[in-house]
Amino acid sequence: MILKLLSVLFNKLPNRRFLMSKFYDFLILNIIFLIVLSFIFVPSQSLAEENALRPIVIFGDSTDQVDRGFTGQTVDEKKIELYQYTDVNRALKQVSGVYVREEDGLGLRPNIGLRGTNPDRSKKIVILEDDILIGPAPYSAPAAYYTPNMNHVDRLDVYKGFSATGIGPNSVGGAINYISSQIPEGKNQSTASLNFGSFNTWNGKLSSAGHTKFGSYLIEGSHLFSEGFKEVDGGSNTDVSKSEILAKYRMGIVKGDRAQNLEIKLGYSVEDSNETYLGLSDEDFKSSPFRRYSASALDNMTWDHQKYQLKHTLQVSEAGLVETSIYRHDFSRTWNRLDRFRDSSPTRSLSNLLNNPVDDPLFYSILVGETDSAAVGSNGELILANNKREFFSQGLQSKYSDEISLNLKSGILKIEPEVFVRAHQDQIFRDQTSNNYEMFDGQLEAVGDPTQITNSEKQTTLAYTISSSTKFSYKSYIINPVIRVESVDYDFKNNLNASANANRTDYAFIPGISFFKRMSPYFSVGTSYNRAASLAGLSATGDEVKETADNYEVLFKYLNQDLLLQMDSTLFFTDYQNITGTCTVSGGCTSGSGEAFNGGKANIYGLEGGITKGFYLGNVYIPLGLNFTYLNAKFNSNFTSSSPEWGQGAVKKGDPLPYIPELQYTVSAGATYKKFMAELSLTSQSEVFDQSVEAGRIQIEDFQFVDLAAHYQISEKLKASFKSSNLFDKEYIVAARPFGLRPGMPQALQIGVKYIF
Amino acid sequence: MIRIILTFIVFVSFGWFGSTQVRNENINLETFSKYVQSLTSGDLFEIEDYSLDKFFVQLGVNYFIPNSEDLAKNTTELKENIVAYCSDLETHGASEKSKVSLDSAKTSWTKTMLSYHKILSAPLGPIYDNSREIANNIYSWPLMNTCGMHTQMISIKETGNFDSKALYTSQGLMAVEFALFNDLTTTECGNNKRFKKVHDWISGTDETIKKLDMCKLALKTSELVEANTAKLKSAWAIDEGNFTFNMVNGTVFENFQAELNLLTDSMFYFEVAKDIQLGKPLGLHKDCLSSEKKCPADIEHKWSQIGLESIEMQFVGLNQIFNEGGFGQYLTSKGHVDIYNKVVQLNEEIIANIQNLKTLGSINQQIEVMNVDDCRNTTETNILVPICGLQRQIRLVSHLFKSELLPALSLNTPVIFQGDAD
Repeated sequence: MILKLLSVLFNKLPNRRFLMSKFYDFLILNIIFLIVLSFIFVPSQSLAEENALRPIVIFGDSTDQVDRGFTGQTVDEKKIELYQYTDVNRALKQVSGVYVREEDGLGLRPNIGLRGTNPDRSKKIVILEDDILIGPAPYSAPAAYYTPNMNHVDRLDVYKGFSATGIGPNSVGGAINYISSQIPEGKNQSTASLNFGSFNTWNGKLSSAGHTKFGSYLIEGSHLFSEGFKEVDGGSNTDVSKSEILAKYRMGIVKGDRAQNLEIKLGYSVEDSNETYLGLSDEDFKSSPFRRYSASALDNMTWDHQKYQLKHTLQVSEAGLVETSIYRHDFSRTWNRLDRFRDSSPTRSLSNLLNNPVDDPLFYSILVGETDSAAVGSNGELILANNKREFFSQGLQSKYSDEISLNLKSGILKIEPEVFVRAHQDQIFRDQTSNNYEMFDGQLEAVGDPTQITNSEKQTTLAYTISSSTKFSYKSYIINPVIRVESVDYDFKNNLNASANANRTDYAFIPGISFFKRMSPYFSVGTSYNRAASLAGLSATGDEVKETADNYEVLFKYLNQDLLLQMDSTLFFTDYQNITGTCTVSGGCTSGSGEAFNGGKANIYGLEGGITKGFYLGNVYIPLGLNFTYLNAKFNSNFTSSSPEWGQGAVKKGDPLPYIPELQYTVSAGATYKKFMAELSLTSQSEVFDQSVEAGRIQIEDFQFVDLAAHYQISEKLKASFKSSNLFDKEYIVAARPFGLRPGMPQALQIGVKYIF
Repeated sequence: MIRIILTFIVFVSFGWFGSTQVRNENINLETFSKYVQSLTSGDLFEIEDYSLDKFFVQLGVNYFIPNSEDLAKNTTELKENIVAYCSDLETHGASEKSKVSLDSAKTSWTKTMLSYHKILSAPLGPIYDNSREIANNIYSWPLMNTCGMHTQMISIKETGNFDSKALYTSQGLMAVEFALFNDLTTTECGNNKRFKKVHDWISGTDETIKKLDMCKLALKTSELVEANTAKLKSAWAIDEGNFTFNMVNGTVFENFQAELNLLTDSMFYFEVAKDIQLGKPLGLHKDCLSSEKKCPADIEHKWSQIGLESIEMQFVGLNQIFNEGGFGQYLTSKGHVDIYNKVVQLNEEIIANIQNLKTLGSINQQIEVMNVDDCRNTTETNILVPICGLQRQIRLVSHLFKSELLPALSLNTPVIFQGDAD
């Protein structure tokens, strides 16, 4: 029945012929694979035994926050389900120390930063899914922004500072671990959910999970469609659709007091979005923020992502586990988008034109479709880039963890060792062409010139990582030394210019240590130091461009369950010896080659934290929450920047890092009464700057928005939901990159139902 | 309290000594007149007490004012020659007399055009006011709409005036060039009903009438150019706009150092010669998208073929700035006579090279016969294709400015060329 429903759903899709062919192929393969595996691994054990090794999730459990030392933060399943997040940017605003630079307003191209790292394309953080690197090519192309589909995410774990020491490659800021949909504990369950809302947005998901004598399984598919909230001059569509199917199969074997699990995860997802890099001029934004110029009418991105993961978990002692995963991810995308005018002089870059339209009104009027390209000759032709990328990411990783207690005379010493090894290889192949168009009567028309090959290059990286962390707990003290060692071989080949070929081997030694003390049952303090590095890739000349920093933290945690009060706060200081940037079009670079830049010294310090407090008002439970981040992120040396990411020109000591707000916070208030639950949250972000260089720097004003979400449990099996993003329809600018001002999402209403059967 | 006062004094002191802003004294009209008087009488300023205010006065008096006067004079002559040509066409048709008057008009256009190229050595001040109004109306290449020129010609033929939607890209000196030098048998207007009249004109009009129609386009356009060159001359003239005085009396620029940086920014116009006048046609610039790896169709002055002369005139103008204009004196007064000599010598080498290149034919002719790979492999020292060697030579000027001249005077590279990695 699920397959039937999925096929009905897919028949409604735009471009369904393309999507369906790929989707069904993959679905059939998945099912055959699962059936074959079920027969190969015929288990002799019962369901209870099969579940014996399922790891207990302790991350984010508030009851032991005071005891656990340096941990991550989480956006839990309840929160994600309440707000029906499809945009990871919005979900992450719930976590202190995380900030995002929105791009399209729909969360398609997330730009996530942690603790002062540049959010551009999430290139400075590590993105994991179920503890496995999930970026398309995290070493070769860290700036290839990609986010797992939130329809299939149960939880987001965010590791910052010291807690990310053992995670590579780019973890100066930290890492985000997307925890995918889990097979529900001990029950057979199917769910169907459908949401409908503003901008003709439909989001449907079907899921079925069960436990048989052959093992446990989960299979689910989802489809999101939206017409988007922008309107292209001349009426081209701005549709967005995303689909995914995810299948998991797990079987377990118990022999004596030892057990092992085998879990297979397969996923296939596609996106077809008519999104653009092109924003608006200041004046146009003020008069019509959701307008799109006709020069962006043909912009379109399609991608597909395949993931294959096999995880084996072996219990080697009472508490000792060896978790071994082998994985392969393939990602392919094509973005056909407006890139530039044929006239490539810097003053006619799209960003410059939109920042200063009065300086060049003629080219501006071509861009908006009011004047024909012919008015300025061939210089006025518009170049549409067709940027194809093929990525793969594969590897083998294994983690040993244990818990050993030693009875000393003076007390118990608990030792929790953890050793992680990974061999990883990834590759990006850039195959880029361009075609010339001219603006004629407000429409783009192809010019007869032949397609140009603009780039053909391949970067491959082979990386070996070993990390070790041992947590020593004695009485109320915890000491946790960590080291990570990485060896990375980069190989770059340019098919058009062999002289650009380069290769390099890089090493990173990342030590860290933390001290933690529980002062009372309610209160604990800790401090830590860790070295941090981002292995960012190659510079144009193949030189080493490694980002290194020292990170210091002081934290305290307070939890009083009786008072339903929880507080935590971290003071951190990151001292960059060399901050790096990467050339991406979304960051303002015109070539988008992935080239890396050195930026010199920078200091980032800040304070982040959260307070949650709950109380009862009669029979109504009222949870209140606040999370905040104060950041001071500035360059600490003078240098001349050639990177558009920071701006081109003189960077002075004290200039701000781009797109890092000094203050952001989210305040939430909820109410739970019997079958009804609602929450209102206010998110605020202070002003940011689009670049560091003072000349031509654009200040993006502070903004606030309010989201509202509510659930009502109609029956045991049926739940209704309502949400409003940007409840008060606040118009605000989220970015001035890549080209021009970009709006945040306007008020969006959504209703939905979820049925469990 | 004493501590607070001391702290305040220390901060203020640091603020005072830490200031890097160079601010010369603005001068009044009397001093300005004295400077002008000494310059016009041939007395050069003494190096020992040379200063930025003197330099700017000298630059105005010896570079901007004479060149704007020259341009205005040439434009008026051009218009008069075009009037004569049109008159001969109307009176005598396509006669020998008309041919002679056409040649006079062409010569006059070339003279006018080259005098404008000299001004482009440092386009600064009134020429770029109001979003480059004067510059655009005189000459907007490489922005050019040749189809628009044909539609303007039709409009003038029918109504006596430009189309109300006419843009500067179909006017200016390049429209005059188009009207006087171009053949009359082709158009770049597409096969669209919007351009039916143009196509009808191309295919169905008598050649003498065509010449007359194009002459009227040239005349109407030259009137527009004349009005703008007159504005430019007036803006610089000491007894009218007196922009030279504005440069030193503090009404236009924040300080002299910023003003000097604006001047050097404008001198980077040679990047246009490097990238657009040469780089693109030679296939050395990414805007050349041809599969043949060269773009001769994108040369400047493709009808008159005076591309080399136009580049030459820019460097003649550049040397004028350093010599008569006083920039050399200023550099010398700051102890950088070596840089001054290097710039002038390099400019003279470029001018000499262009003289030689002219003997090999026009830019277009040289591009036609060159080997594109040899062109790409040409360096400053290994010149496989002479015309490509000129492009590399101009690159040396850019490098000299960026690496020596600007740092010596604590000036910044213009923002748009900072990322230029060559």
